[in-house]
Amino acid sequence: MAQNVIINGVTYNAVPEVDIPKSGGGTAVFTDTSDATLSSGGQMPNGVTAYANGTKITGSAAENDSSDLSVSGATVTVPAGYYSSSASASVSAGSATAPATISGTSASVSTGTNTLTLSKTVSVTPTVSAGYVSAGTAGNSSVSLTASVTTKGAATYTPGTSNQTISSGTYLTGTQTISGDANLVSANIISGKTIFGVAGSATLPSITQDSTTKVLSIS
Amino acid sequence: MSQNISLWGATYSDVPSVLLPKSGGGTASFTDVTDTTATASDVLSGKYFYLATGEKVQGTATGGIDGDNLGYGLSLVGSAIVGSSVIS
Repeated sequence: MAQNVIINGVTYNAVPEVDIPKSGGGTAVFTDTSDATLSSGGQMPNGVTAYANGTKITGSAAENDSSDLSVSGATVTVPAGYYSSSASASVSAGSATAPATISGTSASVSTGTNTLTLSKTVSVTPTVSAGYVSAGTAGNSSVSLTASVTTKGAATYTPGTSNQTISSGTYLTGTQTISGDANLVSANIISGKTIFGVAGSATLPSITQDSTTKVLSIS
Repeated sequence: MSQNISLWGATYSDVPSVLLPKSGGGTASFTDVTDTTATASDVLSGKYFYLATGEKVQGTATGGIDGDNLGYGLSLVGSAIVGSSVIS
């Protein structure tokens, strides 16, 4: 800055400094520092000095570097102070790993008209360690879900003397036909017998053979 | 600092500053700043001070953390003076 000063009654305007001969030779320079805005030691590193408004100020800001930065989890703590050059601290990388096994409920099968639904509920809990995880997926190629069901194609069943069965859980991929017979009527079944729920009503004529004459009698 | 100076035949020792009456009243103080050790990069940005040569300069040390350089971690770029900070 500069000051308008008076020496021995003479005014000198805009005087930035006063030069006075040194007793040992040379010139001592005294500077007007009234417009300096430096105001505290905390604005300079520790031990550095500068003048502001006629006052000598000694820096008090601690000199720090990257080693003074601390990281805890995702928190970076920056202590107050002076950093003479770039400083950095990184949050350690985390990771996510897919579980080796999958647990869940048993599979269930439900059927409807022309539909077969297989459902299974599974839960997957990846293992995640603390830290930053970049975008992506945590996969496990060994994890797989396989469902199988017994199938049976189209077939025709002719009723016989023994039962014929289709195992439970079998998925029918074709039409299953149980043969019918128009002769399965009561009149064609002898009275006293029942075939597939149809009670017979047919009667046979009475036949007798004379033991002596060997003659058959049919009535 | 201070200087040993001679004025009108008289020697004055260890003079740190010179006070002169201002034309408008009051006193102007002129200071010996030759022992200044600060440089622009030492002083907080925006703060003015005088170099040892008597030259007025502005501090350049950044006064905070440059948010543009914050990623998943922290970077302070160049000289900087910061207050205690916690970034999470």
